Amino acid sequence: MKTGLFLAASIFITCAFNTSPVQAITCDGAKPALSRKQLVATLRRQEFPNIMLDKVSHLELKQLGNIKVSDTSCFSIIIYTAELDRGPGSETHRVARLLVLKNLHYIGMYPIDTLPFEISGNTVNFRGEEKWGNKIVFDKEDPPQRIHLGGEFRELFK
Amino acid sequence: MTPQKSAAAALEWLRYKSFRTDQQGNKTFLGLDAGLKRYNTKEDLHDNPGRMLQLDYHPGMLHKDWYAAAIMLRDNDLLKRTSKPQ
Repeated sequence: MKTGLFLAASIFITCAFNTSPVQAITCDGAKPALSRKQLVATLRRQEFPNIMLDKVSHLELKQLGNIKVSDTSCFSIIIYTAELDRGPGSETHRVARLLVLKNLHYIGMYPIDTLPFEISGNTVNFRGEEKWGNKIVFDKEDPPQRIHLGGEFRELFK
Repeated sequence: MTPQKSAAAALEWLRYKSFRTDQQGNKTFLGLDAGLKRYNTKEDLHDNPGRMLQLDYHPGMLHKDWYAAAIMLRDNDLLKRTSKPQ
């Protein structure tokens, strides 16, 4: 009984007076690093469409890198490419997306035509002229809802 | 999806991909060839002979360039077929 009371008091004191700041997450070019298996498992658990994992061929998932926007927000940028084949007589379609994970939670994707070649600071860079849009800048707690890329405006969607 | 809907959607997509928009929202028409290159683009080379079965084997050529050329050739074949005297 006395032990129980002591434990309860200890927990209360620990909770009530623990003023240490939220631990900052590690976020740089190399970490967090996700293997393909971890990526697929993460996407399956969250709202990523299963059809884009199960009903495609030549599926590739590549982590381009991470972007730290604050001590508590880390975006992981993933390149998704795959092929959709709807059977004989139909043309194989290539699908490319830029997936965005925030603190390892999937939050959405952008449709892309060409693949980005690097992350520089908080910017994902694509080839092409600037006037048609060749980068995505992550500078806020949430990724941009609308981007201008390759001469098109594109929305972040799930 | 019916063939009619599919064809209409494909043409609409081709029209959409044939334009480019700048940051101010001004549209520029790029032309049919550029539209086809942007229609089904992915910058891989498809040099795996296993793809020969899918008629999608084009070593040394970017997929988007191959795709545009393949469509134009099919178009040409169709035109030739329809223009033959009966």
